[in-house]
Amino acid sequence: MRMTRIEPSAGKRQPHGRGRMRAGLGLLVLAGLALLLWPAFDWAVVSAYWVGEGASACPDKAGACWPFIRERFGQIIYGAYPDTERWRVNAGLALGAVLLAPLILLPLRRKALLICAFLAVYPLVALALFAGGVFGLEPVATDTWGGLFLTVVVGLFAFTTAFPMGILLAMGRQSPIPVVRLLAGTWVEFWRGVPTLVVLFVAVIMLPLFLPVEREIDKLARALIALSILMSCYIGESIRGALRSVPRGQYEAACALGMGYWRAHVHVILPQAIRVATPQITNIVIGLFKETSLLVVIGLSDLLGVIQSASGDTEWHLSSARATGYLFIALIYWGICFTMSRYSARLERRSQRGAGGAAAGTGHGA
Amino acid sequence: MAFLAGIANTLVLTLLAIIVSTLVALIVACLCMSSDRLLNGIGWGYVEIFRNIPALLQIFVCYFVVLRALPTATESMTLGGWLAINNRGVFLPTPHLGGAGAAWEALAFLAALGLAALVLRRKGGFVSKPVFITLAVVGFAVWALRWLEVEAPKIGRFGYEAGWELSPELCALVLGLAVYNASYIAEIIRSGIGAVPKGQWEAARALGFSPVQTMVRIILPQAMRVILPPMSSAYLNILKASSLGAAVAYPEIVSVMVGTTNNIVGRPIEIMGLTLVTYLSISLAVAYFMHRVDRRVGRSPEL
Repeated sequence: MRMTRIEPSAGKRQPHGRGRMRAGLGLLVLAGLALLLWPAFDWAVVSAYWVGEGASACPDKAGACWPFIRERFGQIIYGAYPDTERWRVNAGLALGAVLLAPLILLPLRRKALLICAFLAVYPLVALALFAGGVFGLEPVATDTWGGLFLTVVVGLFAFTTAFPMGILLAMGRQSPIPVVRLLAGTWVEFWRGVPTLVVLFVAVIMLPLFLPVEREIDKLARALIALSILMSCYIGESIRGALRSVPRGQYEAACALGMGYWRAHVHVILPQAIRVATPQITNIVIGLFKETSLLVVIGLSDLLGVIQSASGDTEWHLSSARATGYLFIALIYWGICFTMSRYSARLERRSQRGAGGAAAGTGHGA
Repeated sequence: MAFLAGIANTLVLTLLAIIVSTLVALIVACLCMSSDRLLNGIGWGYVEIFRNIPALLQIFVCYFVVLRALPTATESMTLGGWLAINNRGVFLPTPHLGGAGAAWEALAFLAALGLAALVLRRKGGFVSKPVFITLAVVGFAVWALRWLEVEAPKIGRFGYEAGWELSPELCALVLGLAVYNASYIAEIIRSGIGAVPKGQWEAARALGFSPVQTMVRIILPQAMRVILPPMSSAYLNILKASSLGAAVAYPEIVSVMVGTTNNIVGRPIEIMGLTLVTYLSISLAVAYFMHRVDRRVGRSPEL
């Protein structure tokens, strides 16, 4: 058989004019980009008001109003948490970071056990620190919590409660008992079908109706319950997908070794499934972190809520305090979410290299 | 009644957001797949920036910053008198039917088209498909020129009066939701097209397909199977995110039900139940529809 000679493709033999045209187009794109970005940069940096105290430091909206951020920095980070007690927030969050960092970054043995310990113990310690009332700590009402602190706490607590629930839901949907399967399936599909905001409203408006009058639970707790129910469903779905990627042989081998349902799951199946699901779970956590901004709609002062209320002051009315605030918290949200998404991408690459790309998908909870 | 209006508003918002975000996403996905380093960087920059900022924050920026910065009604930006943008919203021209004959003529035209389509189906080669489509388009254009009168937005004593008005809330929501969700949809499109094996491009080229033909006839049909499932969940996410309208007082389901109706009627359980059921049924309907489409597209031969 005669081989057909394949002509070298047009892309390889680029005529001179083409390259020049390309460079010209590139310059045009650059110019367009600069034209688009320059006003934003000018507003945020060049024409911005940097010095001064109070609202009089920025008389108009021509530039960003950074004194606003400086003056309200404490509020943006801690909300209305009492000044003298703020060290407790710092201590609690620092403790969390110190405990979490080695778990994420270092290859430790018995990681699962450590993570379980973290999930079980840390929330209690943190709660004691933040809310007070024990160990001689001054009690601090949750309606003073706000800002970045509230956002992080909500994200952290919702995740720590949702993670175990998600595992149970995933196991429920794969359960050998039909009733459990049906119940878990209905539960998950129900909550996944409704918007986060509606779930938050349901929790805030309806939860008190089902509880006896004297047992008032505060708004933050209600919002937390709503978010963790929602997150557990999303996490459950991603773990369920991962459970299906665990080869049948693993179940059979565990069974052959005489392990029961629970022992097989805890020691053999779940560790593999969770490893596969980790990138997706990270994406869900990113989604959750962004969703915490909805708390402002039900009247909690999270990062977004703090800006809404602080810039709503009449004294800042003439300045661009609001826009500057948005820019500032956008940077905070972006920094945190971007870091997490890099982490998730790294995990995904590693698992694809390790396990030949078992199951990894794109997905986000919303 | 308020409930129905809420549903209508939700659907309008969702539809507009889906259309705009898909268009933006297509552009961004093209940028992300470009071999040019600069364009590629712009695409990635878009995705990484807007994906990592909460949708509500983006909506608030659009609503409280961008729209407030627009000029007032008397100084609004116009496009040759056909389109007006100001801080009260966006005003578009509205079409009106110019006479009683319009409907009859349209009906007759549609009947003729239907007949032609039937014949086309029976005989196979009677009229070719492009000719048929051209005929349809030309026919519609002639009809539109004869009967449609377009009323441009006009400025009256209290701002713009004539024309189709998009409220500032709607504009902010569509813009915010579209910008946010486009970053996700762009990634879905990009990874879907990336999932088609490279050999397909090379084979198409070897068979003498042009780049456009390769894309339309070889790559997209295969990519669609990968794209559709995540795309349908992205669209569902937009539907659910339309509830953020409650945050800027756009009268969609949540703000109508939980805000207005609950305050007037004071029966929270029934109202929340109705809201939940509404979202669930829309979600399930969309999921079912996408499932059908998915099955149709997925039926094409395996690789």
